[in-house]
Amino acid sequence: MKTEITIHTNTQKNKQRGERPQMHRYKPSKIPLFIFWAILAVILFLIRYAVNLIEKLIPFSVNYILMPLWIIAALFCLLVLPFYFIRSYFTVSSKEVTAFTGLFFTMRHFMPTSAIKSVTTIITPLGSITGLNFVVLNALGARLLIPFMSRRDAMEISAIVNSSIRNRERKED
Amino acid sequence: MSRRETIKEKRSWLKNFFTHRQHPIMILSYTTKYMWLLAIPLAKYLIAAKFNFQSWFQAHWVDILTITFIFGYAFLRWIFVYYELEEDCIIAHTGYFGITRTKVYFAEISSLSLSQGYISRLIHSCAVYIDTDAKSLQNADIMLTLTKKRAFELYHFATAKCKNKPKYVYNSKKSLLVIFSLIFSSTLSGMIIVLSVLYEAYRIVGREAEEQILRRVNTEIAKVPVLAEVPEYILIAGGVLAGGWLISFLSNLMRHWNFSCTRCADLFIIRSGIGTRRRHVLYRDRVNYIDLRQSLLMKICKITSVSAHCTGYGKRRLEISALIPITTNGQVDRSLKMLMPKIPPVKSDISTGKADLGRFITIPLICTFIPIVSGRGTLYFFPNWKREITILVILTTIPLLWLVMVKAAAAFTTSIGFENGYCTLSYCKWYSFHKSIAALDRVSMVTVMQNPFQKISHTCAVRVYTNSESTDYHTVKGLNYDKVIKLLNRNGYAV
Repeated sequence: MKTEITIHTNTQKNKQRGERPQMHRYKPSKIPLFIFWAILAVILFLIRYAVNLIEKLIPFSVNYILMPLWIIAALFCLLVLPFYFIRSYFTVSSKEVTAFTGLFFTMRHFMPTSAIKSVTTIITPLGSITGLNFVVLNALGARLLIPFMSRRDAMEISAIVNSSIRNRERKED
Repeated sequence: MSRRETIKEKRSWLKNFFTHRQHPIMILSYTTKYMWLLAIPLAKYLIAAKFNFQSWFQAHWVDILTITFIFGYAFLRWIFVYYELEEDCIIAHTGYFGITRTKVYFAEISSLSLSQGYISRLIHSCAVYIDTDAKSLQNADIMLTLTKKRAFELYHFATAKCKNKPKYVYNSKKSLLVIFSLIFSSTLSGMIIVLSVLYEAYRIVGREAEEQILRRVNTEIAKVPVLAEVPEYILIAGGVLAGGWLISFLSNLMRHWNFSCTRCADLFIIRSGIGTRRRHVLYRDRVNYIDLRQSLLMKICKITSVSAHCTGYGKRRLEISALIPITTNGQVDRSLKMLMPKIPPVKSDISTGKADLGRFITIPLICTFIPIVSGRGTLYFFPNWKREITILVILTTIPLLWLVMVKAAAAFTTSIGFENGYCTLSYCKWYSFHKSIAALDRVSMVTVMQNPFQKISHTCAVRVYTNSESTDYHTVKGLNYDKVIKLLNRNGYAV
């Protein structure tokens, strides 16, 4: 339900921007972001617990080792991850697929669907809840990964690209 | 059916049975590598027993039985590997007992290669490799060692369309081939050859011979007064570098001797080699891109090497996918026009210049100071190693200084252009300059990248992915971001 609203909203936004209406714009699902936060929290907790156990054996203060780790983890959790999920987007049409990813190191990808040979869709168990669904577009000499899609978005992207490949083959016949 | 007809039929069946099978020499290759560790001592014992077969058999029946089983297994494997030719495809039954069946349609083939070494010429065998653009389980889609007659049947079948068609031939001059081999030899490839030979020899003759050689070399080096002054490990490193390079040079020279490239119909027919003779048939519409390569020295001497990227060509060990091994800058356009008339003249829509010099040389310049600073630091902790550390610092700084010079030249030669359905990418990767020309329908993806420094200076790096079995891309750095976006949009890449 939530995904349907997202798609309609994006399509309306596309029309407002003057883009072709058949271009679909997708953004990564936010749920994996919370999952990564939870996983990182568990990992950091386990590291702190392990360090507490061996603290007496270490001659110098453990904080000298752990402080940079906490800083890196904080930057990653509060800056890099959220901005990746907020700023990334993917547009898919029958002619081309574009992707914009990255925070400090940005990358804009353009892949014409004429170059795509096959599509791999990875729907993980509980993917409709976790948002851990991926679409891999395989071309000769290149591969484009569209990560963290909701289940519906992943299926929709696969359907659009596969339809484009099928129509291309029919035209060649 | 009369007896004569039955015999005739059996002979015909037998002939057909062996027609599409590999050369019998493959039976030897299907035996294990360790078979020779059994066979050679057995032969020695037979000679020691003065060819008394009875006593020899009684004493070593286990080894003899083992070798018989190995040969029997190898023969069975050979029996099950064969190929079939149909109207539009070739089917190869390979693998253990022919369980792998590979069907390749002629329309999908990108390259067909034949290779014949010295020994293969003596026994009339020839290795055949067939490749398509798709990634295969093995090194090539189909790999077979056939009799020379069968291999050339396939070759003539592939080149049949060239009959009665005009041919455009490019022949390399021998003197230029020597320069080509000088430039494209590397110590690493030479060392790979030497180490493979030494390893195989060591496995057969043992450690004793290896130690004898090393002792002899050490003795000879110690006799030369000049060399006695130089630290031993520097001598070893120098000897390894020089020796490895020399072997690579000779290997490259022999590989590309008598190089010729013929354009005919929609094929390139490439012949080369004096020791191992090679023939390649490339399908021109399967060539993904051509690459004009130069080092800084080649740029100064105004010579270029042109290679063609086509799946299967240049894939074998130490093979260079040369289309024109080496030619002068003046000749290259004419030769390319003859071999690939559809390729438009090189055009640059966006290029870098003097203003971008700083961006290109900053990082290599910083890296140049790393060995000097590290050397100083190491000298502080190990003052007794001053001479060795100084030599190492010099050896590591020289290539980095050379890199600075190369990148300075790259600032004036980096560009990107689109013309008549082709894109031309001029860029520098490490020490070599590349000018890659690819048809737009062979481009699978375009990526525009910016790091934080590039965001500030409004520049970017463009990465163009071209068709290949594995990921293959060309990165052009330091271009103006806005111009790049406009250019790509104009040419249908809505990045």
